Amino acid sequence: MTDTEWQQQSDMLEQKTDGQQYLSFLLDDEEYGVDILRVQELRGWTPVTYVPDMPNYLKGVLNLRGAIIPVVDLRERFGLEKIGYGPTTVVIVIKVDSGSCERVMGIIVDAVAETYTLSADEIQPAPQIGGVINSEFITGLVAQEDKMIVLMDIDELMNSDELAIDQLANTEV
Amino acid sequence: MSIDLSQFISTFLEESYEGLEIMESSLLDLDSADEETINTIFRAAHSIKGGAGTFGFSEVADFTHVVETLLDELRSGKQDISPPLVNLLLESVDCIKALLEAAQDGPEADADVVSSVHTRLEQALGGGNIEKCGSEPVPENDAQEEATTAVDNQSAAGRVGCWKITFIPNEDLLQSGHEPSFMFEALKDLGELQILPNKSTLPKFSKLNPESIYLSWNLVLISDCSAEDVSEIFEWVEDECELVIERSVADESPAPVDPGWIIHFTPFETLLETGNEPSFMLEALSDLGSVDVTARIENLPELSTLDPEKLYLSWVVNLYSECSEEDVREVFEWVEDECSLTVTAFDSSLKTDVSAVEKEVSAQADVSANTSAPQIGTIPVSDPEPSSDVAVEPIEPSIDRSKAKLEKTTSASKKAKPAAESSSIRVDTDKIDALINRVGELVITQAMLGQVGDELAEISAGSEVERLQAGLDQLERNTRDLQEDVMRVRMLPISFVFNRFPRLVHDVSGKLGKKVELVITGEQTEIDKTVMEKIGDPMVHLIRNSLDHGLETPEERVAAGKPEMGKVELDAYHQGGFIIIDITDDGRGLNTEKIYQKALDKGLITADQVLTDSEINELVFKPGFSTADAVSDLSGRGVGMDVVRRNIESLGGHVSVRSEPGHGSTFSVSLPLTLAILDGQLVRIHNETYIIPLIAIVETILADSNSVSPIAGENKLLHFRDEYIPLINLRSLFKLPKSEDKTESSLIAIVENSGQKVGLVVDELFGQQQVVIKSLEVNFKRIEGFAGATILGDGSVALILDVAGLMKRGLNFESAATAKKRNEIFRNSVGQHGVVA
Repeated sequence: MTDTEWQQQSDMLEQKTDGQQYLSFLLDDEEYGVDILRVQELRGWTPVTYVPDMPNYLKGVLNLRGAIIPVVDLRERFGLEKIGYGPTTVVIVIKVDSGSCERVMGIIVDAVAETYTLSADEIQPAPQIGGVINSEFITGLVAQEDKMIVLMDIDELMNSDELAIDQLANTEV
Repeated sequence: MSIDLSQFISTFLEESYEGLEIMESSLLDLDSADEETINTIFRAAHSIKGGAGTFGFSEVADFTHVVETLLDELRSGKQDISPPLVNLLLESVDCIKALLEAAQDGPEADADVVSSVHTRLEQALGGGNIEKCGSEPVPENDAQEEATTAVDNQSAAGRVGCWKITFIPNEDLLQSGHEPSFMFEALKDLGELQILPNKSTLPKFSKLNPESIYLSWNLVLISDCSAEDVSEIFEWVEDECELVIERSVADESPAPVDPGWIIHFTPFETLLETGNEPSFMLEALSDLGSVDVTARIENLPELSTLDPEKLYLSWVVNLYSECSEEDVREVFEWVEDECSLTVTAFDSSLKTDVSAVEKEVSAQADVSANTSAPQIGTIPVSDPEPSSDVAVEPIEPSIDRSKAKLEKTTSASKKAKPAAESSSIRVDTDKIDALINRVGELVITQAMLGQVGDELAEISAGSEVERLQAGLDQLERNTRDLQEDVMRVRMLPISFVFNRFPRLVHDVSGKLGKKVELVITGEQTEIDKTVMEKIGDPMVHLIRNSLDHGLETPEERVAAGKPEMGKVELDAYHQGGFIIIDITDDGRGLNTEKIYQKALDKGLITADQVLTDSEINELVFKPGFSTADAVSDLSGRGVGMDVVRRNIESLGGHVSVRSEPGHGSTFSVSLPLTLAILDGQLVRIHNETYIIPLIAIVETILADSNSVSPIAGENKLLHFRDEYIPLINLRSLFKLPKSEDKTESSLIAIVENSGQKVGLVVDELFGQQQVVIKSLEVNFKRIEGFAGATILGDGSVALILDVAGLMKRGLNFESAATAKKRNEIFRNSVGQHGVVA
């Protein structure tokens, strides 16, 4: 899809729905949202292949129809308590813009919640917060009924720390 | 430059590089002066010039033009082919390459070198035995042909009828069903015709209407026919063109510069037995310029009496090239004692762009359809005057030649022999890689289905299941075949690498003052393109090494009772999923004493080490090793055999050396056929499956605890066949839980990289299988110690271990003190393979 087509499509979406669509998922009892256009597919949890010497939150790699993609446990990434993976555990396969290339990665979440159509004025900027969830990873906060949804900047998150592309090794990509 | 044109530039460059290769190899083969070779060289140069002009690379066009002019002189016999000329032309090839690279955003070509070669070329132009030639100005633009030929044609006038025809058709000429090339054919029936298309009105490709004619022509017809005869040919089109027919009297009449050589190459029947291959020579000739090859089969015996080891054919080659006679003769340098060879010049070949009507963009097709007797002798390059014919040698009836040439017209290819032309298309390697990947997926899916089918068969039997099984078996076969076929798409004969070696040997042996015969066998052995691209430099180094260090000087050889002519053999063949390339010389062999002493001096070994000869020979692959007494220009420049070994091993290959003192040495390179697939040993570590490349594995052993010596509390060294081999415990390296299993023995895969052995401790060995290598970088990043990943039959991902990376990681894992201590023990013990951690 070219940029203009992309633009047209998102323009269309905005006109039709008066806002951008977000997919929300649950981690612990918190609800997070990602731009739905970044979501490639949802998969049930399947065991992954362990990759040595990686941080704990990087659970390994899995075979997505021939492509090898890394899988990140967002609970562990955010320092939340670890829970076992169960039938509702979902791997959200997302497309991450890594500058020089687009990478496909999986994130493990507790469950997928809902999709929301949010207009720009519903989204509040994130306050400065410390801790594991850096405010850089958050594009905004949305109050929906009595819940708060944290909108995440998936590019920032998935290119941070160990997930960053090794510039030296990137020459062959 | 419009985008439309720029997409052709890469094609042009690609073709030009090919053309240069052809020129180069033909130049090298030129000694025997097959006319066809010169023509090949000439055509290649001509194509480059034409293309360069079209795409506005005026530097390339100008330079190539001078080369072309010189080749023309050689072809026409005005200059004899001499080794200096060949060398000059070879340098020119390098210059053109540099200029092309510069045009392709590469580094600037060295202006000094280019201008010096340019000057020498121009000087060489004067070297002919025709005074006109010497005074011929060297035009500096792409429309040179008019200028160069203007002078020549003066001598053409007078003696024979000479018509100058200017034919400028209207753009819509073709629409009324006329075809200029037919008219030219008709003109040819009248006499000798020279055709020079004027391409200046050619529009940009994007604006080109295929139904229009943009070309106009200047024709020179040498014939005693009347003006009516000529105008009759144009009778039907006279309203649709501008036509000027005038008698040419000492007039400026443009004619093409298209000299060449007629080469009669009649090898002795026994030629093949000496390892020579005429097709290479013909190919080499094609590098000199464009060639038309006519094989003569008169001597061919009945099939029943035919001896396949004998050569019954002879060849007549028309070479359109400006190369010197020496260039041509050089092609046949190796066989000159085994054939009868005549090289004669001719200069009346005709060039036109008949095909340019269809292929304006290439604007370089050569039609040399000459129905009159070919011109031989010492007349100016493009002199159309038949009376100056000096029939030095009998010439193949020219009809044959024109036929051959016309056949050539249809393809702009610069292949040496029509017979060798195989239909091919250019495909982007990305597309092939995508195809290979897709087939890889298919193989995995097929394996998955097969597994499910087997499971199903175990649970329930029945005719349906049987049919399913049969279908799955068929699927498996088809998938395997498909995979092989697809892999073959990427495979190219290794001759693409080998082709550069005759030049290398020629240059290097010349510099060293050694006489060397290069014998190449198995050049049709196929190898993956990626592997091939990377193997060139190590091969060059190995060959240089053989020439420089391996072969003795002629005097030494004679003193040692060997033939004066040294021999370097290149042999490529397949062996169990690998391609083996042997580089054998019949020189002095490796000097084990000298190597031992050197290794001692450099501290690579200790004096108390007892080494076998082959172990000493292995030392040449150690970093920092060079035994050349003096650092020469050729080898021993610090780039040692260790680099060769590292390069080859990075491709998953291996290099070894065998040597027999006094009789020569053989360097043997083994390479995987492809980089996309790897033979792997599946191993289990904890609950994970990993893959060790089979090529790296020396041996897998079950070691009991007695043979594992603890150092600094950990099991670090394995005593194995009188060597101490450091162990890497993959469990601890990968931070996997420690083994529960407290048995005394451990399973160790001994792997080797860069001559260094390491034992990898694994839990279990599974089977061996071919795996498709997948990059981890596409969606993730490179991880040290892993060459990639693959997908196993059950759909799970297994990581492929990279032995070099693991060794780096695993051996750095230990603290420096431990490493030092270990190394001391290691050195002081038997270990010949000094590990430097």
